[in-house]
Amino acid sequence: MDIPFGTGAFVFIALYLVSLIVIGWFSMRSRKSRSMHEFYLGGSSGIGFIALLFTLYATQYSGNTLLGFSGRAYSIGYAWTVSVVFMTAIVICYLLFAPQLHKLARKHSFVTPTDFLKHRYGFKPLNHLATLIMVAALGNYFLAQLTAMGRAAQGLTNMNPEKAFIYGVIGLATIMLIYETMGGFKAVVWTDVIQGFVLAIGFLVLIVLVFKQYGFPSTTSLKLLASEETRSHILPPDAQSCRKWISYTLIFGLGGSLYPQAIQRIYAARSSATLKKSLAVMVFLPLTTALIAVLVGVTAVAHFPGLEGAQADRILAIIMKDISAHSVIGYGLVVLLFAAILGALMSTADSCLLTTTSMLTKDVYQTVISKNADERQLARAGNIISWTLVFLLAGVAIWLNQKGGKPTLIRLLDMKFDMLLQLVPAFMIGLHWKGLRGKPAFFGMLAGLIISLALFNASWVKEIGFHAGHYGLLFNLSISIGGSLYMKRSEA
Amino acid sequence: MSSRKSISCLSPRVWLVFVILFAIGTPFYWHPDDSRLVFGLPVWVVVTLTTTFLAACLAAWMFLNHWPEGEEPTDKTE
Repeated sequence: MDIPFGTGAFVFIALYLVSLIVIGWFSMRSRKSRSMHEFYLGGSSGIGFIALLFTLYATQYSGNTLLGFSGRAYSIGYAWTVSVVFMTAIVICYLLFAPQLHKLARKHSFVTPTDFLKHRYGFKPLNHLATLIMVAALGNYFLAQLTAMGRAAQGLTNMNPEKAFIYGVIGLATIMLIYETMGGFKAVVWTDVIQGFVLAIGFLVLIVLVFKQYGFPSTTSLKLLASEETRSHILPPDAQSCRKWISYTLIFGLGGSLYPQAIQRIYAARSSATLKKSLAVMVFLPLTTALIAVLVGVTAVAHFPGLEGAQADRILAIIMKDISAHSVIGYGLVVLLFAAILGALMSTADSCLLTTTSMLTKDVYQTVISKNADERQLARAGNIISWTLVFLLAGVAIWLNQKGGKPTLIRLLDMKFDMLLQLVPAFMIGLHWKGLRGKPAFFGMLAGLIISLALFNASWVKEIGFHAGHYGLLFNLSISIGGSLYMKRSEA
Repeated sequence: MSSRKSISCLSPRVWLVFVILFAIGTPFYWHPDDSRLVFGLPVWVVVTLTTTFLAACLAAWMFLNHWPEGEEPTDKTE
């Protein structure tokens, strides 16, 4: 791969990365105590509207949105408009539980997502299983961000691709670890404000550059329609794809709203007024972000055809290289865009890491391993867990890359949502129906998880088009609700 | 004090509107060879984006005007 970046660009990006560490240092200085609530949720004062909006935005719009979504649109065309729909559905689904969950979290000072389950059901196995699902889903998501960091580095340097991948993953993950270890949630939120801002500018810059370089959608559409090979990128999706469309909307809407890191942001909102205003803005953002990724991917097909599978995820890097080779202004803007991509990757990864660490420290270490640990010991354990996790997953990302059988980012996304979907009854129904019991909720969640994982690669599931998680959820709901009703009747 | 009647975030009527909007936005009813364009985008994409925008408007309205302020959430199992 040819190199588009010069010394000036690397200095700019280095300054940007150093600024994140500086923010981590300031966050550390501003910490009032070493309590878990302070470190993992920023303390009792909560976060205000702007910070909440940007941290929700930067967390939700990740490397997958820019790299994976544009790659997917490149592969299937306008059928990936479903991404705009399901990203909107995620925010709409907050209507189902965010008001009640926020109220309870503020009242009882919840820290980890499963603190709600502990408080609501008091049934330990349910907590452990939910923690396992969330940690697995976050680990999966974190791995996708690390992989994307490696791919971004690969696509934009002249180095041997394998080496670039390794340096990209280790370098960026280490910077993220440093600012997060220093400042905890505050560092993550403050860096999210910068990263979210750069990301928003980046999306705007991206679409302007792409339209200027390759023409407006009208030109692209006519070009795609003229070729038999690319014509399908414009036409409405077939029946199977429409079933997938519905499935994506449901699985992302319900499962995506239960992102553990998003739940912690619901806890951390200063007030219900802050939260509702942030969500009211968030619900419109897919129309400006996911849509841009779709337009970029579709435009790319007309100009760079022939990439398949994991290669398609590199389309954005290829476009950026092409644009930067054509003009100095384009080059400067591509540097800014690269910073936005790094921001998107790191802001999502740091939120995943902080939430995972909080759960492993509070829900596993404190509950199972060291019940009498004081705040200082917990903080130390949290740091050790963070560093171990990052280097372990960085190793997995590098190994997967070298192995050759590279799963695409979208494939990784799919697994995560099948698992998260199984949390729906315990969280969403449990907040509204007092009759839901801990034991049936646990067995429902377990059955749902087993069925989802067992069906994940089943050919008939793929043929029908509905994600395996839906079948798991049906069993999960039946067991949770049926079991609760049965228990109530037996007691009467 | 506002005299406006609050609508529950779980109101079946509200969710029915969401379902209708998402159903219209799902492109299952278009002819498979429909290649008509509006503003350079396929017509079916424009319809999907319009219904998504309307669903976002409804959600924003619910967040801002019908957020359940006073209700006590379900705390423990009965």
